[in-house]
Amino acid sequence: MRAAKYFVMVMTLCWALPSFAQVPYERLLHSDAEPENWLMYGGNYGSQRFSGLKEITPQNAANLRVAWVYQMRGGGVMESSPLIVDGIMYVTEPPSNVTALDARTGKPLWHYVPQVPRDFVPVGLFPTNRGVAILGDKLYLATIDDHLIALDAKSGVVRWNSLVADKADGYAITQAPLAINGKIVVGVGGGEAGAHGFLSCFDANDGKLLWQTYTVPRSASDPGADTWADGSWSNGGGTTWNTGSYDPDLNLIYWGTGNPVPDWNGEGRMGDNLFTCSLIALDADTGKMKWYFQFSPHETHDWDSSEPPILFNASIDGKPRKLVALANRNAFYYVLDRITGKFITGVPFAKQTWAKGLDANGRPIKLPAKLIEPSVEGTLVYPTLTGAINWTSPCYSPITGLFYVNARDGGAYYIKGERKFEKGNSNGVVGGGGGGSRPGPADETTTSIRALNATTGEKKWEYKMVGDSWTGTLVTAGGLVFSADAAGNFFALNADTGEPLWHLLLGSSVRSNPVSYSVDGKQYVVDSAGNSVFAFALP
Amino acid sequence: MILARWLCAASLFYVLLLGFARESLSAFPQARQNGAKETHGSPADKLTPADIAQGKQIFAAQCAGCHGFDGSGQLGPNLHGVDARRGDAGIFSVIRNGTGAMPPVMSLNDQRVWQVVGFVRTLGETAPVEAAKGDPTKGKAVYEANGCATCHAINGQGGGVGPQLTIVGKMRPPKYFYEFLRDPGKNPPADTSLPERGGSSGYLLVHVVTKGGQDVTGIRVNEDTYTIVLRDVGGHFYSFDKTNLKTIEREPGKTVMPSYGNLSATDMDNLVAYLSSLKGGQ
Repeated sequence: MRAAKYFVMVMTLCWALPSFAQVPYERLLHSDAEPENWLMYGGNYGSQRFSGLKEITPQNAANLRVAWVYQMRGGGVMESSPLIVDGIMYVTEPPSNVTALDARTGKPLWHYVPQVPRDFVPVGLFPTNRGVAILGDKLYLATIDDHLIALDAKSGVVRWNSLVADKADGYAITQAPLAINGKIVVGVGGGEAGAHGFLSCFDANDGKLLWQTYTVPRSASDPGADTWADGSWSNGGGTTWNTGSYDPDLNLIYWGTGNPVPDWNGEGRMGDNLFTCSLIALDADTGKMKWYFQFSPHETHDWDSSEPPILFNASIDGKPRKLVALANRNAFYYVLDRITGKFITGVPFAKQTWAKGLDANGRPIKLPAKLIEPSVEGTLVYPTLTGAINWTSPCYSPITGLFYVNARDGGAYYIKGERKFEKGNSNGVVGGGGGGSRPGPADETTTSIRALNATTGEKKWEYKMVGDSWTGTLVTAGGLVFSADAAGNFFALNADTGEPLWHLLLGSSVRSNPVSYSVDGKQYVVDSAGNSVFAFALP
Repeated sequence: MILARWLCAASLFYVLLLGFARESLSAFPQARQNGAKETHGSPADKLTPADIAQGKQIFAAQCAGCHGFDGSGQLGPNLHGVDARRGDAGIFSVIRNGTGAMPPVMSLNDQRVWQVVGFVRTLGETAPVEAAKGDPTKGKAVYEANGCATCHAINGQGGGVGPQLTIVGKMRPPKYFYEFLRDPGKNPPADTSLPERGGSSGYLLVHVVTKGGQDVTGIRVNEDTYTIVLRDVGGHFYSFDKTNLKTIEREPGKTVMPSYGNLSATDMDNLVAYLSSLKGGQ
């Protein structure tokens, strides 16, 4: 009798407390079927950042209010896109910490802090983290000092710890890994330190390396080596620093690559510099490259092509097509066939002054070098060094067929520096950029949320903001787009028209991608500002 | 015309201003009202040129992504003259502890951080130029006679509408002063008072008219997508919800600062000599 009472009590507790459920691959595969959760960085394998939740609508969005706030423990810039799994939120904090929160209240449940050496300073990037992946009963964290760590989702206990790269070579990781069937895929940053880009795939169970594919040649006989004059492939670059996408049917992984090295002085690396500034499609079982598409051959403005590739299906000329869209830092919006990598269309989505346009194969028709190449005195070119978009995510709604992007319009004076550079990282004093930039005309840099026809890139509406916003976008089945302006006003727009419906100043800049989830049928929208996570809901 | 009308109104405020400026000034966003540069006992004073060169390298690798290679600001604020606002120890503290969106730099040792401080305090300095030809002592009298201190502070004394001038002689060559004093709207200084300002132009004059008919012209203190805050020459702040505004006119090229092109050549030389002599310290 006593045992029965105890059993009832335990069961009641289990029911009342958030449950720690397993997330088999099948759940990830069908993530759209459970809109109450946010199971991976991009929302689904197509990185669409579309929430199927409908409680919050254009009619009631004006009633949104803060449901809870979580203030992180340390300092730094919070750029995390949290996961929400069955009432538990997993959010990362700078530099590479993980906190589990009760998604209903924001109360912490456990906290994990990896041992990052104090003498390590990544080159050319913030020491922050943008999120974790989940598969089975484990979370997967990539740390700033290049470890991939599997944590028990219930407790934060370390299950295994594998080295992805050597930080002494300039590598650093800020991205969320991608979990697929039994595998964890992760890329690397460090392009400004001459790091050689690669994508690695680990066994999700034990952390053993399954395959590794480099994005820049490592010998004269490697594919693409002939696109680097005088063996300059040895410079490195083509890092893979932002999370990619996955098509389970094609079993292809799509990942963007970063700049060649050095960034702003291309004289010592003449040629197209494959496979930098490209989208690459890799076989998920072998890592073998199925195709590549290079957006910016011989890039000299630091316009990485690391932006999230969004997978969607649409009809073109009456035929259903499997497509991938990418709003590039170089200010062009591209649509490719994701089976073949063939270029379909490309149009500017922000101000650009470096190309006349794209040719039939999608290759840019560059303006004369004297107008666009970095120079000692500085050459004014649009977009800015940070690009028309950077790491923040656009989103896509299968309901509206629109692609929503936070687009930056602005220019910078690009400066050419010395050709020589040092590879690697020596306590943060090495820089391999070969130049840099200084700001363009004051007050000219602005950002706007633009809704593009996803298939053609044609602009349907735009919402202009004041200042230089660094926030991604979220679109919901309820018909809303969420983002924030530079000052930290988090806002909701009508997804069909761009009409502003609600905003709230959060008191600091919002430098992360919003997500949505629900607990017990109540929809929340969450984003972070400064060092705090804010959850919003209707009363 | 708008500017002229506003300046007339501003001059009417002037007498009143003397009465309440002290209180109003306390609301100004400058971080250090005493404006004095810390020179006594700062480890940055002991740095060698090699240390500062090392600091420059660290800055290029770690800081330039947000502050720009020349420190003139991009994502992060403009750092020119930051030494006058925060002092060496203040810069050290920001690097070590972070502030706002800036992360703390935990993994450089103190010596490396001081090397960065040593480089940062050189940002915005002009290359050595020939000395100004006027008499700085007489120039100080010109400065005082023309009411410059109403809007500008030197070593903590003076108003806060315009930028502090405590180290302006280090930041600007005499040629700049001549041009600026004649046409102050042409090349306004960056406003470094708020980190969020990033690459926006400083001391932008904005004229708004509300739907209710209120007509205000002032310096833009803060603006986002939904609101704008202006400050008039009396130091009063005006906060507007943009949905309540009938018009917002930004007036680049204009400024609340009057032209001093009518000074005699001798007075101008002396004033420029005085401004050029302002290089910090009490």
